[in-house]
Amino acid sequence: MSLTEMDDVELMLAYQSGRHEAFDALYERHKGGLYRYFLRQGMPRDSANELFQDVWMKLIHARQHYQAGTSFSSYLYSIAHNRLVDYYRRQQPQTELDPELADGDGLSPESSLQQQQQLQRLQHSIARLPEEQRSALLLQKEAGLSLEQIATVTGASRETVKSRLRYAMNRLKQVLS
Amino acid sequence: MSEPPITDQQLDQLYEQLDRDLPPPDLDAEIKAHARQPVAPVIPLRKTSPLRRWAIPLSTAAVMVLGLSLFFRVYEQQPAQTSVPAPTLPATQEAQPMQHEAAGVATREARKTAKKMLAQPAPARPSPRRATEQEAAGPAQAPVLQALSRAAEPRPEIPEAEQLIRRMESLLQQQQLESLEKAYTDFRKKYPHYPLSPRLQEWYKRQHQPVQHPAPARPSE
Repeated sequence: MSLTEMDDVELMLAYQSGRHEAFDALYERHKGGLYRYFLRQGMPRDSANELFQDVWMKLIHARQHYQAGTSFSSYLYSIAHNRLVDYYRRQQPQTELDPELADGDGLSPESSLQQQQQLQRLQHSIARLPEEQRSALLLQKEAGLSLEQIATVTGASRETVKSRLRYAMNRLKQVLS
Repeated sequence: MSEPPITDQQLDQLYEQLDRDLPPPDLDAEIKAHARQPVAPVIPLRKTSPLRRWAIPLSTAAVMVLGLSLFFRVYEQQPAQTSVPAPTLPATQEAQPMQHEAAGVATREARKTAKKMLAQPAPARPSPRRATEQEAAGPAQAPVLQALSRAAEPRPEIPEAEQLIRRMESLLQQQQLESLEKAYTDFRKKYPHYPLSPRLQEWYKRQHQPVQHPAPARPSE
């Protein structure tokens, strides 16, 4: 079976058995979503790079402990979420917003670059969401996780996740309208 | 006039238009290179035999038991050693030579006995009545210790008053009456109520017999 035909779990098991190219395929599939999961939290790019690298390093070191029972995405984003919580615990919340995002506050809707500004405002609004709502939203949008998977990753109930997502969407719609 | 609220679908479309940021290529390369490194071999825990595992606790316990038993044995022996009284200072200079002489005699006797005991063959089994110190010292040295401890036992000291009485008796025997009189005067200064020996009492009665006065006549009723 070629690597492109294999699902995430099969790739991980192949990597576990020593096929390094399986890791490359797995990495290419998930690197964008995971990177943006960190970047759109509103943290500086350096911090996002550091957290992104940490998650992959942890996955590499713990590859022998991976079990095929769970979804690979849930496994990967569980590591990422824990790392993010750890990061927030060490940082003052909302104190170091990415400067690129912080500039979006003074944008005028009458600008000729209205579309671009709206995207920046969305990005900025996501970064300004409460931490739990933002994580739930990004796990849905970037990782493509279901409500149940988000609940597993964040350690919350399905209903709580659903509520957080609804609040997040309403907040963004309110800002962008 | 406010704009109509955007729908979930419009929001999703807007979200899709956000930049598709990717990690920098050098970070990609670094992570992929790290993934190619072999897994560090898991060092299995060295299996230790039960004897080896218990070696340190057992040896520690053994040392403690030995140490405690030695301590208690020494502790038991200590009272016997400390019970030997320190030489008391003589009360008078006259008594001093006698005490020294007595102590010298005792020491010589003890040495003689100890030499005799060491020359004799050791008894086969110590009697069960022997003290613990003898058991600790070994059967061969037990008689020696016994003799030494007997010699070290304090001898009853002769009181100074008795010594003076004996001296006075010898003076009486030698008929040195003047010296006796003087000795008696000194003796009574020190011991006004100490009883004299019968011979000295007799001498005293003879020498110091009070003058007989006629008893006054009782008035008749």
